[in-house]
Amino acid sequence: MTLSRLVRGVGMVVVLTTAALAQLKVGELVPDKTFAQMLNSDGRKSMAELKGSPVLIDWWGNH
Amino acid sequence: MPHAIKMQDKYGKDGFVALLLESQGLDASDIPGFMWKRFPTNKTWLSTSGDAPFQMTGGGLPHAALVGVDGTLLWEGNPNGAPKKIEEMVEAELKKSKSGWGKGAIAKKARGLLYGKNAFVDAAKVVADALANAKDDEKEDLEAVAREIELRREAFKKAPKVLSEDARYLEGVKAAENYAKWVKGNPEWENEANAIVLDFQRPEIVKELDLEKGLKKILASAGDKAPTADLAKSLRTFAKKNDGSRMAARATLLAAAAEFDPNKK
Repeated sequence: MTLSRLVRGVGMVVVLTTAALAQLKVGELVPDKTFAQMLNSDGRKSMAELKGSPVLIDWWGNH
Repeated sequence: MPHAIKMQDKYGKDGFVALLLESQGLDASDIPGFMWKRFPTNKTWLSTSGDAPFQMTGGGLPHAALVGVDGTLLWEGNPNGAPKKIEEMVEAELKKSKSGWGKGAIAKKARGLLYGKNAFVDAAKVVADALANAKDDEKEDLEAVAREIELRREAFKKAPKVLSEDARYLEGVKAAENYAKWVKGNPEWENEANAIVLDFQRPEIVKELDLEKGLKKILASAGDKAPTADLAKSLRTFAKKNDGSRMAARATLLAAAAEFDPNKK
């Protein structure tokens, strides 16, 4: 692998990581995300599969 | 979080989903126990893998975001400051799900059939009939609906398998039967659905289904209360007695959750 390819590859990872963690504005489309482990679901495990349902995402912690 | 739990109880049967994302580093294996001890009646969907579709805006918890039926962000902020506003938006979205939406009357009708009734065959027919004569601006949206029909159908087609992988066979059977009902009228889809329903009649699955009924009775004995040491003991006994089964493995996980100490550091 050449250095330029490696740099492009790393750049792509950085861009993808940044995109995955981007903040959103009201009215923007929520990116798809598949959840590796999900308790209590009806068998659907991704945001795309939940289209048609209003979804309240609640970030929580125990501290 | 308590508000999300209440909303799941209130609107879950209508299609609303409260999706909880742990964001302070609690171990994934501790999440089921923590929730069971603190919120024994919780029915919200819980991601235990720390995933999020986007980064929350603002500085800290509590924090929530409402995603509309069309997949766009409708609201984001502190849920404690706007419970009534959130509920009003959810109610409006549930209405929108039933009536459908889109660039034209046909796309709206198809989405209403799809999301409001899970009428996959009727929705697909409405789209197919309209696509032949659609103008460009309508055609794009109708093609989007066609993709949405396939995506939703695939999601519900694989749901029984996903539930079975979690040893939730009773729910898997129900999901399979629902899917079979929803695709009635399309011979190819019906055949696939019937095969999924039949899969639950394999002897090894029937055995697991019987065991799951027994496990459910043990869990029902706890009622709506937080799990006790006695319940954990019953689950351990069940797991030992049925060693080697999927349900024994599930009972072992549940016993560990029942034994979790929510005050541990």
